[in-house]
Amino acid sequence: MVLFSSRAMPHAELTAIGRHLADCPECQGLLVSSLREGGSEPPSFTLAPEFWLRHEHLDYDQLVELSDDRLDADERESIDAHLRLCATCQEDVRTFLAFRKEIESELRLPYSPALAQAPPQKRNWQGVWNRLAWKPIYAAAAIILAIAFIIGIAALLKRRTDNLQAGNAPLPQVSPSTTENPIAPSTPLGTTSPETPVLSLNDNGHVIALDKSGKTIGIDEVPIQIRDDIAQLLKTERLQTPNQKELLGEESGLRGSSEKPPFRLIYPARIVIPSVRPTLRWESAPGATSYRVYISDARGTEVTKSDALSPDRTNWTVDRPLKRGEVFTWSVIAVFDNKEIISPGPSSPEMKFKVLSAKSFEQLQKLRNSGSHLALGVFYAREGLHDEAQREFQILLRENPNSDVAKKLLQQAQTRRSR
Amino acid sequence: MFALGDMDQLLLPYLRATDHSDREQHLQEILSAYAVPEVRIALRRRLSFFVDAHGKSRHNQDAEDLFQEIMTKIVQALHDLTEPSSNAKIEDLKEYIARVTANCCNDVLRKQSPSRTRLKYNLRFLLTHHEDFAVWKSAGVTWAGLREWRNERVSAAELSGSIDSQELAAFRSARWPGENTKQVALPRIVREVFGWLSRPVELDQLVSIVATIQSIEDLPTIALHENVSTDNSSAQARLEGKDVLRRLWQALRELSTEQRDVFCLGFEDESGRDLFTVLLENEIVTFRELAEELDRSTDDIVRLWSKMPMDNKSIAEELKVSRGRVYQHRSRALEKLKKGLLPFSGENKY
Repeated sequence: MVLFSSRAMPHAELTAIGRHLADCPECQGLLVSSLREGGSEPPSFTLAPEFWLRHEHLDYDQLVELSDDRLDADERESIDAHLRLCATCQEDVRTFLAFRKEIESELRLPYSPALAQAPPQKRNWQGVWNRLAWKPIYAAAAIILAIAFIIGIAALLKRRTDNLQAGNAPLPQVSPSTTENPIAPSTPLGTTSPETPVLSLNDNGHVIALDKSGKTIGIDEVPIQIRDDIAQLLKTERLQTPNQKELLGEESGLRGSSEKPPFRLIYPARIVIPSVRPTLRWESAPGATSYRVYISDARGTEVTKSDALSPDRTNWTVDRPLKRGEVFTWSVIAVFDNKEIISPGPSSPEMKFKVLSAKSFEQLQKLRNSGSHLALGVFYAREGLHDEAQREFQILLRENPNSDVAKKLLQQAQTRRSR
Repeated sequence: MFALGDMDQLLLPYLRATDHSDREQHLQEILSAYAVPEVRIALRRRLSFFVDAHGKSRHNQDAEDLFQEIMTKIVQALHDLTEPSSNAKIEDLKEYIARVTANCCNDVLRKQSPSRTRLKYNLRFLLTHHEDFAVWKSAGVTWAGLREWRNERVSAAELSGSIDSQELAAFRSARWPGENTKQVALPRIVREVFGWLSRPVELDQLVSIVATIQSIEDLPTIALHENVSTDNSSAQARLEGKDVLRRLWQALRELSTEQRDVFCLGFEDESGRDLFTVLLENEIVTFRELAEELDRSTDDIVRLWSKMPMDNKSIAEELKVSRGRVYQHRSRALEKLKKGLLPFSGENKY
């Protein structure tokens, strides 16, 4: 009867015992005793809907049907009822809808195996040459184009030298790297513009150039506003960066003792970040038994906080999306056996960061598809994402090791970052 | 081997048995009477996993696998107790079962962190909606890859092959040098991963690879339903006591058949017991009355009882209605039952 009451018997045996039980009062008594054996508790239950809905988390199929608007009214109502109660499923739906929107255009892009095997930034030029060599006419055409290109650059350099000798104001330097760089440009200047460029840069396998009229060439897929910024940058060699006074925190005497905290907050520190759920990082506080992270908005209202994090954790990924375009303040409390220490301490300015606005983020997505390090660097710098700008300009300098413009851009990005 | 005095009394018949078949019989009793109920309740509470009394779940292979994994661990531990050279001991069987189950559930929760689950959903959508990608099942495993790989035979070595973490790190830094991979479009990452592997990969393994590439961290372990908010209405709608249970049974008989069945099949009391168990244990009904009142054969009652409590999906299948209908029937049932029962909620407590 013990086995029957837990129903962990072969089905045929269960059925046979069930039939017998229905007609045998004695065995019914045995069943009751057996059910009570495990330590019977008083019956208690709830009729609250949230209790009954607590296991009804959305599965993948429901998510897809919900996002396709294919649910019938009853099921939609049941899902809505669960979503009102379950923060996890709410976030599941939100992120899934955002993902679908984000990849909508990508779903139409073909991804053949050949594409999949070719790293975008490491082209095998030897292989390209070998393939050309099999077709002599193409190889000859390539050589002629290369010679024409070199002559064009040489003529440009000569003209610039003449200008300088004539005492004209110096123009931004043409990058000689276009001829020295073994990576051949995929869009030779002579084929994209009748104008002779006054400046050009290798950029992820393309050449971006500025013609005499001040127009940029070779970045047609970049939004016009960024193209204008790039043109302006190439003319002035000055990186546009935003005023980020809002990210400079104020000192406050309300956040604990004046003791200097034994640990610092590392990231994000007075910068703009693209992610709505950044991973915050801080230094380890020796002897701490746990950490707690707090994030508040510009009005000082707490937005979210972490649970108690173990002492070996010195990072925490924000558990909910932060609002785009907003400035946030964050702090970490290190808990010790007999005290708590907050960083930044009261003698230090508040630690703030800003989440990139929705409009700028949308623009960023487009720029990423372009693959232009120059365009991304200009965008990042303009938006105040100095780490990212520096990284893009580092790559640009690697591709243009002799370009003064690329060097200046990197230097300016580094200066902005260290401010 | 430890002295029998160190062991939980519940284990003594099993440990004292000298005959092999006798010992196996006692083992079955321990598993059926103590392990199965405990594990079923824990799986529901921690993971919203519903398995029947035989560890089966029609809709959730993971739930079945986990149930079997836990039972195997318990059986192994009980076998170890009988080894002459073993120093193992179990002083509290129920506590031991609860600990093994909790550990296994925690492992699953770690793998099922919300961010990882969302990544898996996104990957499934991408793989099923992009014409160059595919996801398919073979030999009980869900595979992901390029569409043209669907019919390719994968060698046994590749099937069992795991991805070396150092190789993965090297791949990541070679493909996305200096890039924040969290911001790289998922289709691009998937394309690169398939190009790198040049073979199909288990969907779960793909999730792990992409999670590593994008530095998606697991959040602290919590049970899913802990994120479900409750309010005062929960406390107000709480009922207890034998008399209230009797009234519940009377009220159930006044509901429509659909409302009653939906409520009965999904009912779970605060201890995790199903409705039939609670009614029988408290002698509100006999086995025969249960069958007669619910207008079902005793065979059917036994069959349903071994599956209860059931989740909405299983109830919908059992009653041959949509999940939305199940929700509607239950909502109406709860409303009617509240009206009938809440006025008596303060009476006749134990």
